[in-house]
Amino acid sequence: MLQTAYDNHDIRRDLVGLLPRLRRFALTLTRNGSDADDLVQEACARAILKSALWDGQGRIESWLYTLMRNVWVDEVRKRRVRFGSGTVDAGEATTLTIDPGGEKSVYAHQLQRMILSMPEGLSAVFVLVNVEGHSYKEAAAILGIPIGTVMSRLSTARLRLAAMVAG
Amino acid sequence: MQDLRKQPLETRLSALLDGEIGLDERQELERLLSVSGEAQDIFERLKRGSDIGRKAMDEVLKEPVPLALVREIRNPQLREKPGPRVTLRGVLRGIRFAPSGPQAVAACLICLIAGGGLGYMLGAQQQPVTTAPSALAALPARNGWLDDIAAAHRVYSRQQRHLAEVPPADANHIVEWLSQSVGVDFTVPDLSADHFGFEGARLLVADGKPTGQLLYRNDDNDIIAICFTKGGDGSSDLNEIIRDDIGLVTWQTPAASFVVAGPSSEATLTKIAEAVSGHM
Repeated sequence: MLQTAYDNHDIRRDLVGLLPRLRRFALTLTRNGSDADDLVQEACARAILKSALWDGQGRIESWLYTLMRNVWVDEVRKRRVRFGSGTVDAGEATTLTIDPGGEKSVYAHQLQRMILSMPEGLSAVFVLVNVEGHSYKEAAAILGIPIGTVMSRLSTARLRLAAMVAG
Repeated sequence: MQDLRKQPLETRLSALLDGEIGLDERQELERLLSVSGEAQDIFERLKRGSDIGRKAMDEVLKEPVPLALVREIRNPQLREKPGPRVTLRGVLRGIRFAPSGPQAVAACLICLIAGGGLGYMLGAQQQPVTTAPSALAALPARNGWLDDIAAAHRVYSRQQRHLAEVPPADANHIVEWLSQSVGVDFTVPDLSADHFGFEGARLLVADGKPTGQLLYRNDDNDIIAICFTKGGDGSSDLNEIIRDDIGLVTWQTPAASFVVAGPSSEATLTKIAEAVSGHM
């Protein structure tokens, strides 16, 4: 009998374990918490339905991130049709108003908001490569963009973050 | 490795930071960094942005995950895509109703005989209709039983000092006592492979029936319970149900009904239920 590489029980367990990271990556795509949770829910549902397609090789989160990016691209396309425009950039980042030496959680929270408010695409590349340690090639595959774009977005994100704190 | 020579300096230095660069390119950039103040400044800003961004995004992982997300993932109704639904309308649409003459006559005769027979039987009925006791009657009313199990687990799992009625040291007594009280023969399963230690047992009343409850705790202080009562239909399939914050995995044997109860976020409940169902 042909066995699937990954049964539902295993993927459910992995999905629950990966939820914090899935939510973080979803945040970089949607850039708002409510949409991010909806996106994670939809992506997890699809992952369970399509778990037979996961070959068990490599990092499962890469497969899940790719799936999540596809779901989000579909959603953005639907919104464009529905509302006549895509998601709106949260705007250029402002400078920090909290001192780095101030309350740690408030400082971190404000930094997160600033990272997520960077122009579309920067924060996703930043999290994949700089935070999660994916290679440029893996990040390019997950996001469906050329490696050169990954490189330029990453350097832009880093310089913007440095400027936010310095500003 | 990418040929970076046509890329802007900040992109090349960013790639140097990630080690995604060839040996020649690395040596060229390191030479540049040793002589160029501008390159050093960019490199320092890249490193600073990298560090503060990483720390900030790591904080996101500390935020609590919405329970609804965990429940949705663990929802057993979410399974691989089913085949097309078979509906009555679809079936009827596929049937062409065009009887021939003899078929119509035969159908009329069958209806006449069946109707007459039914009328005779109803008219001849002298005694009130009684229902013979069925196997279903022996089962606990499942929803009520499971609701009571979930409610009991919600209450008792918070009793840190008085979790169990009988301590684990009296395991032999627990087996004898609950086997007699509930009417189900069992042994205490060892869940140490799943990092749960036995904490003792209780006798519950769930849906009006005596129910045995074996309690286990793991290092994270999560409590799970194996509950059982007399009567079952023998359907050994595991079914997972969520009652608010409590996850329940149920199965039955011809003699008993079982459920493993625990936090709905506990990812190993089904695995534990599989192990226990093979044991009990």
